[in-house]
Amino acid sequence: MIAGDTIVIVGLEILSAATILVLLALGLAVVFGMMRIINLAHGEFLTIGAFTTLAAVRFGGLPLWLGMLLAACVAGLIGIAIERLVIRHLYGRPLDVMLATWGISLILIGTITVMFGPVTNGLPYALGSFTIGRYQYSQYRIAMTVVALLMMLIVYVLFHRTRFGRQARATIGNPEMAAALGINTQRMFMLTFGLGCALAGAAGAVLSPLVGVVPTMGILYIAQAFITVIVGGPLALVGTAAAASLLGTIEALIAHFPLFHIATAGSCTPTPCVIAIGGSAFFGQIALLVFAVVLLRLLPQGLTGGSRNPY
Amino acid sequence: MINRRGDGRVRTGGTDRLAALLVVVPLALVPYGFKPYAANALALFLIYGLLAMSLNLIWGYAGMISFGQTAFFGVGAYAYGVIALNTIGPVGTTGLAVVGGAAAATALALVTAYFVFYGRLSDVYAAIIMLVLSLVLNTLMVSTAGEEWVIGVARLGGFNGLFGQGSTGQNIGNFQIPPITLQLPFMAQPFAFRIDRTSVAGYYLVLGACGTTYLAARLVLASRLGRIAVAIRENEARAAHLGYDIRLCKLTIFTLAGAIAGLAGVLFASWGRFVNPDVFGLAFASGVVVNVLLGGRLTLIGGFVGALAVNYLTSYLGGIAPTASYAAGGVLGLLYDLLGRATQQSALLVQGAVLIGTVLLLEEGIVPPVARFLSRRPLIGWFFLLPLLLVYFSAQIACRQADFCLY
Repeated sequence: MIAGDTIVIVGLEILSAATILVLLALGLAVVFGMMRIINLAHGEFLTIGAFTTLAAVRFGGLPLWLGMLLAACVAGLIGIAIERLVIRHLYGRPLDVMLATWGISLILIGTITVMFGPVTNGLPYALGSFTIGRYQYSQYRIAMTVVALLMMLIVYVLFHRTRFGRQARATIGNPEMAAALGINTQRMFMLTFGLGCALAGAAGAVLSPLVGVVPTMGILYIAQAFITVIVGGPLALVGTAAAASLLGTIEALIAHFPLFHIATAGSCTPTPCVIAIGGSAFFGQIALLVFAVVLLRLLPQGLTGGSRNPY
Repeated sequence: MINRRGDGRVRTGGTDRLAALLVVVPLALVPYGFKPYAANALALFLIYGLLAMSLNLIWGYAGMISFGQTAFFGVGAYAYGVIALNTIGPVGTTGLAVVGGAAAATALALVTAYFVFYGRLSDVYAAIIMLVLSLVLNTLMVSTAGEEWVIGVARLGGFNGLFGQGSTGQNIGNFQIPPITLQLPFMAQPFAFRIDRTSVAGYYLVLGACGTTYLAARLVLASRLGRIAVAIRENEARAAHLGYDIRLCKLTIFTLAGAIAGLAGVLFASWGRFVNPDVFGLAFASGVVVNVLLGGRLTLIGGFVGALAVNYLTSYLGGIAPTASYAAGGVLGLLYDLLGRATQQSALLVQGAVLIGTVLLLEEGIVPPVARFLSRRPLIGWFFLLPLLLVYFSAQIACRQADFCLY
């Protein structure tokens, strides 16, 4: 029988897993979901955000939230620079974009390692924790959900309630027609890409107190980010939220409850040697991937594949 | 511009034989003019080249991209290691492990190919899925440090890599993966293909495996299957309408490539007598793509050329760390320091620069332009070959007679 506090804590873990997926995928939803640019350097923009926060808090002495804002700005500016230098030459060549952004990703990892060293840095938790039955839960994770919701609201308002958003959506939907109507499409591509990178930077900053800040941290998240956006389907924002909720639920459940055990022949203390399948973060991620592959076999267009007008 | 003749094959005839001479003769002579260290390093680069060739095969000829050939490479290496550790004691040879390693990689490639091609994933997603597969295996193998992760006498060992534990045959305590050991027909004892001060047999094994696999791949590409693969690359819809089973053809070619990657993994585990989760990591996976891109994706030897070029560049840059860094002080010292740390990251930086550079500037890679040039002017090819041979032979004599060895 599952106790009441376990149910509450698993519910919170599901919320937290879904929040993390939203944070990881939101920037990519703009860059890949809307612009169809396969940005394999997405994870490194998360890393840039995390390291900017780290540098701002540790060396600059800024408060955490200001460091996070700064992280979004830095990631956005680097994103714009990369769009101007490399990606703008490669629109319409998806494979080459993928290869070039992979190269950018490697160079960013190398550069960050040169600057900060290959070690894992930690940021202090900003908030305390509270108690539910036998469990403790950090308030920061709750705050993170609020921030994620705010970021989604900002993206929605930007793209659907402002002049910039209308022009950006027009440019992505039909660049020639948009250009004929007098929209500066080059500028729109640049700004939209920069916005996606800024969102990734902010996400990395928000996640940085929870995870080890290390130059290779982006690699850990890139798969989940892409899978969330792909499962979400053509409606980038709604789809990402729906996919994050669904996949987050699967991930948190498998990560919390062991499925079965395999006994092995090693010599362990205490005996016997047992490998638990399920019940750890690793198997949560495996379950997420497997579930997504099966889901895409059934719904090749993703969760929002039935919608008529993606723009 | 690429592939004017439309059949996607490297030109045959005089140029090709010349190119083969240019490549094979120096490679076969390396252990004579150089120290065993050179043969050791070159064997590793050839193994990387073989892995890259598996990507060449599917990317250049069948138009399929996989960013995760390292998944099959790593599974081959781990499977060889596990089986070899368990069989070297009772059997004394590792022939079964070689077969088992390649078979494990082939099986994984078959299953992956089924889900990808029969699941109608687009090629771009498929490429990412393969990469994810490799990275997931990386995470899995990193988490196997505990004592419960043991297969027979083989401890998976997590980040520290695979090793044997216990007692089997002459091995007691902790021991390494054995090199490929075979019962040759004209020898009384099983023969171990190792590369060290006394023997370069392992180098010739790698060279032979690369050559044989290359020829086998050429045969496959010349067969009906290879021609259909090229047709699919050129126009998938038309090939389908002509009645060819696209998915089966892709599955077959992909599985073959997986087998080649697995063989490379087997050779890798035997070469270093060591394998750890890094073989599934991002740097390894990107390295394969970089080698193929730089060498040229439309020729089978492109991967070898790219692997040699990138790895020599990387190890050269890694070796030139400035010595005066801390003493200099001030801005200059800071600059030296940064440069020194940058040379330590040279693998990533070189790979990244090559990726961006080839995509923007050198779409075909190195080999096709050079091959075109040589086919127009074969004399220049001989002009380069003869001095090269001269240098190698004099190096050999110098190393043997005067103990003056290059490298």
